Amino acid sequence: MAARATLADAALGAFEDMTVQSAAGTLDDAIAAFIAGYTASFDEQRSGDRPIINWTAVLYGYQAQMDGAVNDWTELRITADYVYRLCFLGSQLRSQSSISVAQAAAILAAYNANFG
Amino acid sequence: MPTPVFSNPDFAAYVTQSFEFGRINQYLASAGDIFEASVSCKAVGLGPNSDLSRVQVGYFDPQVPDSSMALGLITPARALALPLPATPVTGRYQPQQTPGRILIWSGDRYDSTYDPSGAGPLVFERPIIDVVQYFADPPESIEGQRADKEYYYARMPAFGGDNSLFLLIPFYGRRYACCNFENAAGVDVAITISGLDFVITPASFPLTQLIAPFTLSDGSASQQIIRAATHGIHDYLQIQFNPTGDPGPGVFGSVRIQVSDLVA
Repeated sequence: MAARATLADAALGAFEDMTVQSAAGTLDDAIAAFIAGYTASFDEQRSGDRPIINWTAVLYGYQAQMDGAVNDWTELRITADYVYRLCFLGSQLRSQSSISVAQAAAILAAYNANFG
Repeated sequence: MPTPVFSNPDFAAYVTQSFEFGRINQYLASAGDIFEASVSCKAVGLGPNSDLSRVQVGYFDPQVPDSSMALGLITPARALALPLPATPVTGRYQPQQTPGRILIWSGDRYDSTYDPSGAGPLVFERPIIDVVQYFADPPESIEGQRADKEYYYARMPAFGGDNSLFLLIPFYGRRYACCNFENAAGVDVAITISGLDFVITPASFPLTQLIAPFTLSDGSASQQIIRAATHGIHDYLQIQFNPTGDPGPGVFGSVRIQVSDLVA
């Protein structure tokens, strides 16, 4: 898959992109790497960061339950929906200056490194 | 209207001010808006103003393996009438160690950047998320239909040249719509009513034609009825007005759309 240019693009591309990892049976590892790729940029103590941290809790909590089976469409459906929402939220928070350019870039870079 | 901005209500302030409820009642800024509450409650349900029909709730439950996060889906017909704990200090979601706040987010999809009109005129009614968190015993009416809504425009925006005018109305989970049109554009106008569904795709969103395109003569009126049993359930109604000639800088006329959870 090609790299997504914006977080909104990543949101809408999530299902299509994550299908690749699902087919390879590596979706759970890719999600863990995606989370690890951006979480250092966010701080629980900053209120503007908290929505992203809350989504991470939802996504990470589900990832911890996954068994990483090949083409598990239920796992793909649920995690693609969470990534879709996390990326759209990142785009929204950046547009209202609640998170920095670097933080939004960190999410997009982690997305493209693991799903793009 | 101003561009919607994501903000989180201060639920703790509701408690300190002796409110028996806290409420999220605002335009959804994005599909990813996620709200947090650090105070426990006795129930969570949809409020009457909600355009969204499905809202997800996550709360701390140490018996849920791996994550300690239990999920519940609330709809107009089903609230979470359970005492929900918020444990920002004593309980943490796993494996991230995030404080166990109650989390609330849309279960419906939405794309605030959707624009079928290109450069043409667009009226995009934004969806409202209305969720009530009860700190005291909830009323018996916590479950039930959302309020009926009416969208009335006495003078729709002018459409220049032969550009189509698009009108987008939230329809998440609704069962009924009554659409009244009056054409005063000075030319005949073709009208198409479609059901729009937001999906996770970089391609275009699927549109289902609900009412066959019809032409409304200048000076005439029309009423169209949409029922879920016949037309299905869709996220939005997309109504396209396509003038048969150049109406100039005029207006289409009046449009009145009523949507309801009740089957009429």
